[in-house]
Amino acid sequence: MKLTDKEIKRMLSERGKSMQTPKEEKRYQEGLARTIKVSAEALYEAERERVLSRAEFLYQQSRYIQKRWWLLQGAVLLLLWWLIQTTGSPRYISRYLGVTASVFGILILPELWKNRGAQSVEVECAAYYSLPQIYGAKIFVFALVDALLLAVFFAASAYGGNYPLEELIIQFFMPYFVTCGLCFQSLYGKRFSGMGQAAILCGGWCVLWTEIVLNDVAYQAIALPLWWLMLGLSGGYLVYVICRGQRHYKEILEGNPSWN
Amino acid sequence: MELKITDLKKEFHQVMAVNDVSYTMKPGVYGLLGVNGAGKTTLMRMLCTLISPTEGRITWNGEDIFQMGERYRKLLGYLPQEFGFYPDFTVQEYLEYIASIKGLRPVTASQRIRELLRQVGMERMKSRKMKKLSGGMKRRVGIAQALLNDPAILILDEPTAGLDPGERIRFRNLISEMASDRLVLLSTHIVSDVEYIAKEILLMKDGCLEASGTGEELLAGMKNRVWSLLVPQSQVEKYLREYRVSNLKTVSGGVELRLLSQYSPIPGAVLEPPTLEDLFLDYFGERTGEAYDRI
Repeated sequence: MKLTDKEIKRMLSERGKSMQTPKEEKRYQEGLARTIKVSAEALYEAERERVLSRAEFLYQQSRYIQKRWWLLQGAVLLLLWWLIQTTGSPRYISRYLGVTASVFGILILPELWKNRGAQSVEVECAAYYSLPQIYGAKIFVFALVDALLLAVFFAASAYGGNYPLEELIIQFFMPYFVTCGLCFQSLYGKRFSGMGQAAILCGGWCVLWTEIVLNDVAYQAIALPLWWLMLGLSGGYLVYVICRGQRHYKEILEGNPSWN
Repeated sequence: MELKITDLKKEFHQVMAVNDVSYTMKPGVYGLLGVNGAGKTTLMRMLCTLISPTEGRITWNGEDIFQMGERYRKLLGYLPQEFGFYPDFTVQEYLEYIASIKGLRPVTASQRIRELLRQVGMERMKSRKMKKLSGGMKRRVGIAQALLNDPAILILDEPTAGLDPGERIRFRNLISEMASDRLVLLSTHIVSDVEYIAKEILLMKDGCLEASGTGEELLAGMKNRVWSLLVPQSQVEKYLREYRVSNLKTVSGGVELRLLSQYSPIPGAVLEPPTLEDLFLDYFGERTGEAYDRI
């Protein structure tokens, strides 16, 4: 029978009231303390044998992610929404989308890069939940929050009606997927030279993308189905980079014998 | 409980960092001695499944450790040579984080953290940020994180680097205390770290296991080879060139040398009982191997 805290307290107080002498009361208190101690030890022993489940591990990992990155991502989307609402020209909207999507992607860098920057990879690789699980959990949590933020953003932007939703999706997700792909490629790479390397790659991509979007001839020449194909390819590239990195994560340690 | 290394090799860009190492370890403390660049860190990384061997096998109770995966890592505690940490975490937060990746449930984690902070003398520092700790304190937290899951196999790469003499002794005692029911492999190039606590000592040089055994066994081969003598200051250079000198002390009347030699270097030289430092000098010379650091 499972008792609630309230019921336990009531039973203990009734039991306490029935004590006749101080000696009885003392014996009762000692017994109670002993029972609590034995129960705590039993709980500890039982918990010791158990391992954190994957869901619990995921929750624990989310606790260690600094939430300010999500706030910043939210701020970027808010700014983008405001720009879409106030800018009339679709050409400018495309440019804003390309740049902000890249920035939105780059904001995942600091959190995922933390262990490489802090040289904590060795300790993490030797743990029960190893590096791929740690990265996997962080990527999953980021993907979940980003999906939520983007769902709100797209709903709000589409409601405004300044820019077709289809265009919005293509022009945002394509640069976003490529930016994330470049970030992950750098993260899982053998030669890690800090976040700067990834930021430069993403910056270069951002400039290239803006040039494409601003080039009317090129932009108009690409038909809508081709845009969808390119979006699919960029999404495939991102999935490939993550899966490959997760499979070959040991290259981080194998790459350079003097790396620690 | 048996950790067995068989014909282990690891090659990095045409450099054989670990070359044909075979050894079997059971519970107790094993001291891995060698100069920097001897291949200690590479061997330890393979024992932690961080890198795969080019050839050979490592088994735990007969099962390949790379096949065991997380079942093996559950038994493992590891302190790397350059222990990385998250600078903005407090000591408590850092240990909680490591406990979570080691799969410890919160109740177990908080109890273990409390115990270990007491054992390594960091109870009062638990709320301090990692970046604010001294080198020795960081090392102590490193030791605590390695012990969080109460590991059956504890691998410590240069654990005493940065510790002051008092902390060194405290650490030695802690390791000794814990080693009764677990296997501890401790790499160092400081002889005194393992002299008193290691059940067996492994001497590693150029990727190979040069010698192994108990301190007494290793020192048996050094009998009648350590001499002490008093020489004039002007002759010190000559002795340093011709012999392996393990100690040099200026005293009134000249310089007292302790050196290794098959025969008495001069009439009147006194035969001394060998120490592990003499043995280390005999195997490795005075080379520090900085150029090959961390291979």
